[in-house]
Amino acid sequence: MAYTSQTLAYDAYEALRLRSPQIGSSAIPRIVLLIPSALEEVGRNAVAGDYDGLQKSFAITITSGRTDLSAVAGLLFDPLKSKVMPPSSTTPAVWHPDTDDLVFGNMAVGASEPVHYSQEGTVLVFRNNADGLISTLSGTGAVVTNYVPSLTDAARPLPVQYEGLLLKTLVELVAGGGASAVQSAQAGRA
Amino acid sequence: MAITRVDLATVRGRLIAALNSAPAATWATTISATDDARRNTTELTNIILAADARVCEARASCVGDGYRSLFLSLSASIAHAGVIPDHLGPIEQVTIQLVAAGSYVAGKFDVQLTLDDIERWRANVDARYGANHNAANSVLGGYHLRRGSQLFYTGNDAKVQIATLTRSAACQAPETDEDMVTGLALGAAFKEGDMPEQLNKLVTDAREELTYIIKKSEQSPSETLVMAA
Repeated sequence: MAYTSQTLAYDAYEALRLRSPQIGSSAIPRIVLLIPSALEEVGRNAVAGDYDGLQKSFAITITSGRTDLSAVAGLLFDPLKSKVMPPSSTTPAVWHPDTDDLVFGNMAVGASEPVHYSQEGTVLVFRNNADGLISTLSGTGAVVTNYVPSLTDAARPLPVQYEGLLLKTLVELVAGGGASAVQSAQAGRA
Repeated sequence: MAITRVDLATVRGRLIAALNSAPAATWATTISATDDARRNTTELTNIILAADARVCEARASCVGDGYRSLFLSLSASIAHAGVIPDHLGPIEQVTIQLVAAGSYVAGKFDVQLTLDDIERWRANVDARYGANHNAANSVLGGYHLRRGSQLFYTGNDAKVQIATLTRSAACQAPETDEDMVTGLALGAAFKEGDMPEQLNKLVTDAREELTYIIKKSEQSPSETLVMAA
């Protein structure tokens, strides 16, 4: 059964009580606050470890040759580990690391070549293969990339095989901060 | 199993025998003269019921007393930051209704919990903790904290197990306390200077037993046993 923030916090709390039995149940709401951090860590670890399970295709809107990835929540875009599909194409766009080359037209993209793209911050910039221009490519494309999983967003689901990793990550996060803080407070009180 | 209570008529009969005071039921007054050994029936009844109330109060006030349950009941609903209703002795378990129309469950309390936590969780600014404290499947519901007589909590409603006593026309102490009620009543019924030596022990024993009950009270469970809840 998929985790909710409530069931995940309960499981983490039970695991933490095995380590530190003096932790009270008021830790549960505090644990909830660390769930986004744990999810992000799981996502970033997946990128580092090339886990395909946390890759999926996200629709992107390209307007005048540009699309801002920050508009799609939770993407962990890495051009070396992602695939970008231009509108109406089955051929992935080709990564071009030199943005200036792409933007200022210092490179030619022929009609028989795939679309090329580069990155300016969170914005992907495309050079059209039809006319070699940046501003003429528009439409809905796709990017296959890693993402930060979510417990509630169906577009960024947490695959079931990651649930154990998420719980472990959350417990470590809490034990690294919350649990030791509780012990310190109690030692001070004793 | 229903516990049989002290029988008022029995204790009154024992009092009459001990005091050698045939009741003067025909007296117009309910208070007897100071130079008359007899007692009016109403006067005897009032003395017995007062003694019974002392025993009941001791039983009801003491956490852990085997007969405290005779006086325990769930309070009316208490609003957040509301005052716990009048009661005898410490309160017992706080129960909280997590969502409207839901059942009441044991409230949660631990030493890390602060009043600030309660208020922050109730506010749940920007839905930081997910569902609100009084919504279904919220991690925030069910916590409580007491400040004096005020109860603060998360959840939809709260009730507290409290001991109360309302005097009535009958005795309410368990029947095993008959000697104690009789002894305390005797102590109150004797007029100044006329305590017979042979009855003095019954009165003294009753007073010592009452003191023992009061002293054996345990700590309030809602501040201790719910630590692991």
